[in-house]
Amino acid sequence: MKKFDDFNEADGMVTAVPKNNADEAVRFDRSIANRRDDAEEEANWERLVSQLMDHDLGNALDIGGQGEAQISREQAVSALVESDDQFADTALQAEAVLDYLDNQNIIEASESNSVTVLKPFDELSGTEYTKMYNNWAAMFDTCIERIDYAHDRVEEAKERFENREEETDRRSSDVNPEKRMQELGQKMENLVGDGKPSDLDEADKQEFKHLREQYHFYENMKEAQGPELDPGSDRVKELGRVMDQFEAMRGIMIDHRENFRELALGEAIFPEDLVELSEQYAGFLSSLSGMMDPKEKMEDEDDDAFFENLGTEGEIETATEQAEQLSDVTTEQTAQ
Amino acid sequence: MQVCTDRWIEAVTTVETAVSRLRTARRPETASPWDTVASVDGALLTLSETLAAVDWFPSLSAAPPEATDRAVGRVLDGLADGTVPADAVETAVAAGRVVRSGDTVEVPLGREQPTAANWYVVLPWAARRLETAVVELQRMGRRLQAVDEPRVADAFGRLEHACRDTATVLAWQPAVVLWLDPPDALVAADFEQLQAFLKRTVAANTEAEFS
Repeated sequence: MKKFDDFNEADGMVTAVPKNNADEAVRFDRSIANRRDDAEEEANWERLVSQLMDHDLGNALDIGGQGEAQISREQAVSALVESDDQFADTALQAEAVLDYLDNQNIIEASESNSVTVLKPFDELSGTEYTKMYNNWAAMFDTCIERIDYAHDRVEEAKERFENREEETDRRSSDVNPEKRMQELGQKMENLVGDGKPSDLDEADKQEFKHLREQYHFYENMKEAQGPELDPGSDRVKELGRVMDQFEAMRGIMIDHRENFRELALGEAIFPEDLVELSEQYAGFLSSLSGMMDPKEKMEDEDDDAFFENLGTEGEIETATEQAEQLSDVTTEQTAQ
Repeated sequence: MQVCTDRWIEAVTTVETAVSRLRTARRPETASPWDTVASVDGALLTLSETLAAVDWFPSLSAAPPEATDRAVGRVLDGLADGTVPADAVETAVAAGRVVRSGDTVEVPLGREQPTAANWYVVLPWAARRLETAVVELQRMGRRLQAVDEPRVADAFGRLEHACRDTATVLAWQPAVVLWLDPPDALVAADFEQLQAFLKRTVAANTEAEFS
């Protein structure tokens, strides 16, 4: 439920007046509801909306069947208070900011205990919520940030592998227990000759004991050595593949983010174009889904089917094409 | 099988002590070099048995701070050499890597973080100490050869070889695990979270009826 419903704006500041007299008024910079001066398509509230989407690593966000996304008011307040961007120092300040953004039709926080950050984008045109196109842009921004973070981690991991390889001058495969065991066995045979170990004199017994312990030592080493592993190369390849996917997705998402920012400014959108945009957007997301989940694909598609389809168009290309088609539609729309 | 750090430390110090005792003897050929061979053989056998029994290395969910790893390494040196540095113990205890009970300090080898990270310090530590022992064994082998003790000198040559092989495997195994299963579950976690986040958006939108 809203805690603030009266907002006085003066000198670039907002004073939020509480509904309950027991609460204190809250003042904050009103620029949160503006577009940025240096990049007029990006809205200042996008960072805040991203924060709500990313709270609890995205788990706090409830995405509904029509593409609408909500977060509980309690979680939204926590997200703003915990944010490094200092959107609010206290829970009351966070409540005031949320209610002000609701007042500005950037989010919907007036009813129940949830905050709607995304409405289905094909329902936004012609409503008072066109600023929510920027929220869709913020969603892509959130994904892009996650990709960037994961990309950095992958780079770190790759660097660490390479350093390890340089540090280790001998590999387990350089140890040859079987060869050593053969050599030691031969030594023991030479030492014992035609007799028995128990027939050896004291000095020979000492040497025999040593050779035998060495033999058992290499027996253990053979077991400890384990299978020969090809260090790094497969892993680095795999990481490279993940990074390629990230890069492909990142580029597509940047395009989409910009498309939605343009839509936010373009307001006039014809319904028939929206249907086309919606279908293409759904197609793009669908292809992205396939690109993102190789494990599921392995389960869903048997080897024969996979082999038969090998060489047909890859998912990344499909997603890119979908993205390009989507860009064309949105460009046409914003131009109209 | 639960592997305790004490066994690693004891085996390493047995090698070092046996070699050191012989090295300081004025006449190595009279200081029972075969006893040294027997001690080193026994310690290497223990190490190889211990290593063969390790059929898993725990995965690390995050790379521990280097300073903490260094502190654990200094604690191991201290336990082996007899004087454990208090500041290293403080650092390692604060990080949950070392357990202090009265005057006793232990370096547990756990399956879960934070003590799981000790595996990646203890094994390379033992490898480094054995590499140092290899140099001493070489020197002793040459001395014994010089005083016309070829059989025991050959035995020292074999010990040197075995020590180097042990050090190689000790250093290599955790390095391979780190290669194949790096301590950044964050890479996988991020990828999975990102995937989950997108898939939820995808599911919501592809199921939506745009008409």
